[in-house]
Amino acid sequence: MKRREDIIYVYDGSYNGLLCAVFNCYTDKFIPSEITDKRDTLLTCKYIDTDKDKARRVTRGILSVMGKEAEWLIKKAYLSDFEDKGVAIAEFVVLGMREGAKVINMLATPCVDKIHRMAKAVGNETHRNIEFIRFSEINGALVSIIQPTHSVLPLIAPHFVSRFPCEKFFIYDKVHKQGFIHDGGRNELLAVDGFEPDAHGEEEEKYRNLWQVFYDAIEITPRHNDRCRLNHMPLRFWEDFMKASRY
Amino acid sequence: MELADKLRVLTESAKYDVACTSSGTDRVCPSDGIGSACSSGLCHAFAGDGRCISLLKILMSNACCYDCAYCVNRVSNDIPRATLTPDEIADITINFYRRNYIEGLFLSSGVIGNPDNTMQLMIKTIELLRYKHKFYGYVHAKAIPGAAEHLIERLGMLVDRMSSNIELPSSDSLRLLAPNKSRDDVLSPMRYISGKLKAKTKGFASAGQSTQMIIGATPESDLQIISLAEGLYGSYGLRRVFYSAYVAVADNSNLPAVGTAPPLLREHRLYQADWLMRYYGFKSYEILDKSRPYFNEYLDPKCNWAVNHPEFFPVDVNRADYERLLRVPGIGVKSARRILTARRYGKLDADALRRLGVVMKRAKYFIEGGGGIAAADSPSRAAAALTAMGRAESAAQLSLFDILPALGQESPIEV
Repeated sequence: MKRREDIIYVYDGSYNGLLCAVFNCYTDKFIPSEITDKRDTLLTCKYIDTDKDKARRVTRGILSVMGKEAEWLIKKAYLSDFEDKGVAIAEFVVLGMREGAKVINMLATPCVDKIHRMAKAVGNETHRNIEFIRFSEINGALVSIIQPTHSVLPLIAPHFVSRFPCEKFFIYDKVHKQGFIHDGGRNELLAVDGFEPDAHGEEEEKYRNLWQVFYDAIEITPRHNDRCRLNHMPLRFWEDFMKASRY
Repeated sequence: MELADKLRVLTESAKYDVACTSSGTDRVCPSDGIGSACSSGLCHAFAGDGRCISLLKILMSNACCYDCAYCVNRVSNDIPRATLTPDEIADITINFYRRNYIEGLFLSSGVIGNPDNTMQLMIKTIELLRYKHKFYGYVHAKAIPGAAEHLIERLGMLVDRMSSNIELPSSDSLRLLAPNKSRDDVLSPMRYISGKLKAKTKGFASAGQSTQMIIGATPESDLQIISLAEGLYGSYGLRRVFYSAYVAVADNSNLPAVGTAPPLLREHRLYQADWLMRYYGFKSYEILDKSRPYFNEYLDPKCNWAVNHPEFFPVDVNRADYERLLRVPGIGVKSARRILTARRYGKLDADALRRLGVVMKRAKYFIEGGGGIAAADSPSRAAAALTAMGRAESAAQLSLFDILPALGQESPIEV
């Protein structure tokens, strides 16, 4: 499909909205220079309406021709914060509808490579957040405030639901303004505008201090290695469970 | 002693054990429990030395009645002693776990009176976690050398992984430095656990067993060490052998002087060789032999093998099978698999190989097609270039975990 560099699509930021943009590529017979949810540009914009039926048709096409694994790649790429994810997904779908399920293995093709990279970045960020986020016990519930570089909350939540079935917990993504709540049978992803937790109590302070004691004592000081630590654990995660000023 | 002080003392005493992996088991808890385990393992922080912190790694007690010269907890060493109760350990574990600080518990202990007594206290602790707190997270426990088999069995039924440390790579060194432990004390728990695992005893240490050797405290060669490791992987089916660069903690004429730098490069090379044996199909005799019993300082073991085997190269990336691809420096387990997948859809050139994760600055000397520059003189050119590269890098990256994938201590391919 040919590219048009003089036009961009603007969608509402939802997954269905993005699928409708892909639908539009087929009706317009071109891929625009950008597919974005930001409405500020000098180029000609085409505003995409989110239509559930069109989205469903695209999903059906993806599943029947490209398969489940390709859909999962697309969903993960959609959760990324890369600005060019819209066009990358459109190109991947257009190629995939022609090539079929094998498209996910065409690793040497640039747009396939790109989708894999985006999905991988989201997967890595998911992994890091599962590992490095910290909960504080506040009024009997576990609370965590996270600042991920991609919108990974929907991907990390199931891990904590299965790990802590009896706990009440709330994870708030400050960057993407989303929250996830788990309380008994209730599991819900919510749009949350802002969240300030109450101050924590003595019990919480006790375990934070014990952790600090453990963390400091476990290091073998003749092997101190800041670079290695930094490689594994990006600085943005440190603040959460260490007083960054100490390092 | 305050709880925090006890925790500090018992962490200090446990930290020289390098194992901290939480891999090898997949499990979710029932709806009234807490905890899960995932087979690739998870790291929850990295310490100031760059090592991953996955488990709450502590001793139950460091009031050890043995006098092993290399060990910081030997009875003749003047350090603060502490013992945690089973309740205290269970409480800290659960509360760290709920806050996502840790993936579980790694419990070991100095010998409190005698091995059986020690094991009984450890069993009690883990029973509290499993039954009272309904904890389904990862637990790694150490088999105390010399403990009765029925206690090892009970402990094994409660934990995911068991380990018993060889510590010193030969029985001569053991006799000299660990007077209270015999070779048999060390090997018999390992043999017993391996028998249980081979019989596929349900619920018994589902993540297998591991061991550790201290490197550089005693005079064994690199060849002796990797041959021993190979033997352990083969005969006892160990999941992992860990290598721990000796940190000089004891003033003893049979040991390196206090203040001697830990041999980190050697440890790094041992892990590289270990990976080659476990994932790359290398045998120990291919990596080192009697004429060269020590690692090359500037060339990693795989490059070293490659430059000494010009007859094997060049390898054609568009045709060679998996085993051949794996022998090429710059191609790893992941990139070899991706090459096999990608080349079904077209010929691979240098850009494509780069996209697949091949490190071309190494691989180019050894491959044909795909931007390779393999030629008649390339083995010697490769040797020179790679040695120079090794010299430049050697100062920078000598830490144990630099050889592991960026996301954590455990490689995702290890199950």
